Amino acid sequence: MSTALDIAQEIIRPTEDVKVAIDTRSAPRPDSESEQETWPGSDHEPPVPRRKILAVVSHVHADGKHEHGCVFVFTHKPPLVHSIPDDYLVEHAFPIIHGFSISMSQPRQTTLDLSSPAAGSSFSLNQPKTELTVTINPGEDTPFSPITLQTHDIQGLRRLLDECKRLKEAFAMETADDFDFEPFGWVAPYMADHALPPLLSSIPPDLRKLKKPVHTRLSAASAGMPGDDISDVEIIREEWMRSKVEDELFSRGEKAGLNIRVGTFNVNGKFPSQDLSAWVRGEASRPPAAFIPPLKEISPLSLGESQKNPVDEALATEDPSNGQPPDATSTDTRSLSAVSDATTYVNFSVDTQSTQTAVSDAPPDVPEDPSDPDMLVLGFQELDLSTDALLYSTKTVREEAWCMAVFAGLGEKAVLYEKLASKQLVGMLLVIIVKKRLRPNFSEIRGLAVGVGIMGIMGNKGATAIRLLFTPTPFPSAAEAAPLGRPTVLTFVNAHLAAFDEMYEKRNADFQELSKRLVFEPAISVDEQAANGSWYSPAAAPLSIFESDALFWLGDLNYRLTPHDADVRSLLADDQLREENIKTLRRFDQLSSAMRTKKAFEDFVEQPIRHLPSYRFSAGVHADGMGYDMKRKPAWTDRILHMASKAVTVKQRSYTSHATITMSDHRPVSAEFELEVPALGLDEYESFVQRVWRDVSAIEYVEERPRVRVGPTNIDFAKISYTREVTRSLEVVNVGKVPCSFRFVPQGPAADICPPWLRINPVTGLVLPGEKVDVTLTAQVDEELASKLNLGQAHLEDTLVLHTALGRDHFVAVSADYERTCFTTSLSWLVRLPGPVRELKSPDDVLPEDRGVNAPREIMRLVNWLMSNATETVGLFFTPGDEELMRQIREKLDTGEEFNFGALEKDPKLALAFADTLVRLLESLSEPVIPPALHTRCSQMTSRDEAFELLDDLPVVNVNVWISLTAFLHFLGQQDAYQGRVEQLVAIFTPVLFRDDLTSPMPVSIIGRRNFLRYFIG
Amino acid sequence: MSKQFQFKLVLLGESAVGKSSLVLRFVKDQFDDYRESTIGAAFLTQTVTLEDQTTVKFEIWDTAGQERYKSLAPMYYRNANCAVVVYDITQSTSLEKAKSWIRELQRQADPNIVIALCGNKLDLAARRQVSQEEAKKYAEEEGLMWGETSAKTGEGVSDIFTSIAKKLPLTAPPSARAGARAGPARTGVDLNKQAAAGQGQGEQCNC
Repeated sequence: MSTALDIAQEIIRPTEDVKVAIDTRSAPRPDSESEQETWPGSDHEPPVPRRKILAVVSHVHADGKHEHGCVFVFTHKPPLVHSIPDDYLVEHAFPIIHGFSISMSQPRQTTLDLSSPAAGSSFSLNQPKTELTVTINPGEDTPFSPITLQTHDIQGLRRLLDECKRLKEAFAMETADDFDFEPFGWVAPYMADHALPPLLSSIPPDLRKLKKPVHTRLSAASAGMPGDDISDVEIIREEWMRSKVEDELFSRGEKAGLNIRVGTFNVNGKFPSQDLSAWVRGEASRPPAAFIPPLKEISPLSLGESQKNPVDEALATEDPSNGQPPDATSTDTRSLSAVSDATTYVNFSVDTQSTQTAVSDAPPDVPEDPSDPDMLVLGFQELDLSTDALLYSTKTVREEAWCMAVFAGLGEKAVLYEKLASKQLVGMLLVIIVKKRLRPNFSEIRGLAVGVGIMGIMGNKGATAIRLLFTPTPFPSAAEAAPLGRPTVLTFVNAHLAAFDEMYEKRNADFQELSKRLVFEPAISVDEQAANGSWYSPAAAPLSIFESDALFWLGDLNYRLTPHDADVRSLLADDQLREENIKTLRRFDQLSSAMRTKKAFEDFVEQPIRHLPSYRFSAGVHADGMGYDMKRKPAWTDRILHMASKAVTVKQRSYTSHATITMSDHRPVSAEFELEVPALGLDEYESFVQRVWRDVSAIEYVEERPRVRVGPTNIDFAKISYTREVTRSLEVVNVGKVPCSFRFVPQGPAADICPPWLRINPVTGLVLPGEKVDVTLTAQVDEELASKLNLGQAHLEDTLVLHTALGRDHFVAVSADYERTCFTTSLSWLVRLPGPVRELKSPDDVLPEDRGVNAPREIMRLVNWLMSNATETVGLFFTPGDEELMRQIREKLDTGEEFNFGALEKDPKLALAFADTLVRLLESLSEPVIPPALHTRCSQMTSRDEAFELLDDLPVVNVNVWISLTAFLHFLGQQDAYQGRVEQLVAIFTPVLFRDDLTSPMPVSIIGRRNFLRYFIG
Repeated sequence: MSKQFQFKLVLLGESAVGKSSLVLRFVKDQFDDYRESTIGAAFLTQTVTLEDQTTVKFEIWDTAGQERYKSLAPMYYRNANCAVVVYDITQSTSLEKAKSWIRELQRQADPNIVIALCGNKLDLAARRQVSQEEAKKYAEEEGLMWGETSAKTGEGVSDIFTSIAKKLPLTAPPSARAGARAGPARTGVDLNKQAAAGQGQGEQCNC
């Protein structure tokens, strides 16, 4: 057992001294022995008196003159289930002031009490020794009541009383005028320890907040205007704690995996009539033929009869309504879900009944593959299109039918799974199916539904959501003594947003509305939580869907493609260029555009789509050659996105649509995710957080000013250039006694924190006394900045201001010399360069407009090199170039140096790098080779002659570039290695030479522009 | 009840004239022979009590004197109610620099700013290059307060800050005049709060 002094020193900060610390215990109350403060060892042992430590602590003020004392009582922490052993809390803190007194009283006779604490308690073993009573009287003018303790440590108590006497005398010598500070301000931090540290909450922070850089959440501040330091400290500290937990606990601790298969399917009101195995199991794990139910023609009527599948059987016996014809009027007319209030908690069920039924029926020998998902999350839309569905819940029939079809699709694996939860709103249904053996790992399952359809509330559009806790170590039943595991919160949203091409803004608004209104109501009342007494308990607050560790959003989001209908169809129909064309179309996808412009789904992640649009299919005369409905432009309406905190690693393994399932006008879409979540006990987590918290809990209360040394104060990045990063390190060392939180602030109120060519990481931080933080400063010039810097002065300098909370501002001078580049400029500027761009001393030294050269020599150099060295290389423009080689080529273009690559000269890698450099140079131009104003006309040219004529309207420099480029591409297309790949060259160069306007709701025809280019290189 | 006022004060002047030492003497009554050059701006507070028991709390920004950081000075003197422009009496060039700071303040700072010109290093009077007459005459012409100090011995230091306190308009509501520093610079302990916390804990222990 640690000594009293050790424990006290552990709690007391370095700014204070523990003078004396002794072991005590609470004194029995005179009236009743039984009220002695105790804590139960277990049900069978008698209570043990709680250990208390009495300590005198002294604090010398920063001025070195004033010493003040305080008597502390530390108590062993109450033994909640999850508490850490040997942790102590500050129970009392009595400042040693005028009225303060402490006394010991006559030893009272103690006998070895046979009924008192059992063996094992150190106190009872020492019983025969004399016990002294200590009485502390805090003083009449304080709000504290006297307390009494008992101790055996007579020597220690004597020293303690002497020390109190000394400190009281010291205090008595002083008058209030002696100091202009709050004399016992230093005591506050110890009392503040009672506040719950951040991160000790069962509610994860809002994911949207986590995705915002910390400094954007701080108060407005600038040099000389510190802002609200106190609130900034809180935010910086919480962030610091979070990264401590992530770096030192989560990333080093045990991990648990969870494979989730997510699917979304707009079923267009149909009943299941096909095998769903491709969707629910993936193509690879197709079950043996015996388990595939016959394709088509399964009516819901016959599903109930397929007695061979135990799950079907289970479901069939469970629901008496199953087996009725689908069009039979639903019996459940009691809940007017959508009409009365679309947010009512309708139809939510946690399916426990099937567990028992299914478990008993499960054949024991079904093998489990590692690739089998642990969890299936399936979202359906348009489950029921009847008008009645809007008014009355039609839950059971259709839900059961689809669940059965899903289990049937799982084939022989079905017996491994059970339905965990489902949530329906009109046509939207979200079903979660888990492996039976993992059932105990899921808890606190909650569902919710929100309608945003007709009148803004109806359930024809909207979302249903399910939130649950996944605990790698399952929650123990009451009988078991296993420690509680720390759960991970997973939330799934199945949404159906506004339809039609032109309803883009409505879809964004639907998303925003759902984000706001998808709030889970508390499962238990605040009172219940308070009674529970644990910091970790089911949250009693309303919970946003974003208050999760990982959030998955799936559904028919209805986002469409902006290009012309004919463009979309012919791009999709070309199976030679499928990959390239899908990439092209993806750029014109409304959801991508909403994410890019932060209008919706900001900070969500979606893996790039590689499958064909899942909407809208038809049959017969209404369909095009691909099967897409002629009346609706194909689109990727069915999507799966996610976002997660750093505590959870999410890897997406697939994202695809399933063309074989043709029963609906949509194709089902699926995605596989591998999650890694921390697998640790709540107690382990709490003790870590408490330990970290102790160091930083009261920065805002300490009277000492933080002191840090920041250096070097002059940082020169020397030469910086386009796309090449230069990093330097800045050290922030805490040379003071208190933790210091810092942030970089802008020089002026409206300014940026640092010049645009610099990046600071981290922008905020916290340093403990004696520790240091390395801040990385990275000078980097991106495309946008290079185009500005090319036209400005080359020498860059600035001063960074690092503000320490409640302390001073530190200046760091930064400087760099920018090396100009031919990239990111314009054709018209490049031709006015008198020589290599690097030799340009001042931006004013360019030639007059009428004296420029015919074509930019940089582009000509690349084309000429490729023409003479690379025409036999396979894969030019199709294979990306080596970054380092490209950097060297760029450098030679900028300096005007000869292309001399020695032994590499014959290496195809070099040719690929040259080709890629050419593409990147063209892409970086501030204006495309074909000016946007001419795009529409270009796309309308119907012959080669017309196309050539149109060139007359281009500036002469652009014509020269166009002609030499297309001539080279034409030549390349004639080579053996490029037979049949001209179309691919056309597809690649169209966006390079025209540049797509992604902001336009009606982009210029892609096919038309390709045709124009083809007139020259085809 | 005595009145309390709060003002923002900025120190300006050439590098190495003793700005930080002056503040250290004023705030902590200490002196370091070897002080590192200030690279940044330090924030300190000190309270002066006048004869009528009015207290004036100065929120002091001690700025870097190096030329390299000159562009940042306006960030610190904006909204300042008073400025102490320091020169070194043993360096005549430092007075020239002080004059240029004063011109800048007159041009760009709050028009009501109270400016004090302060000749420091009085303990080195033997090596004096700037005469009292010269500096005083300049100060009178420009309507500035003037004084000489030694941060090392403490001579004249509190006088100059007290004179500034007296000259400040102590009629306007202090909050409106005070510098923009938000949040409590120092948080004391509220004994009542502490009691509540202590009692709460006590209850928890009885479980």
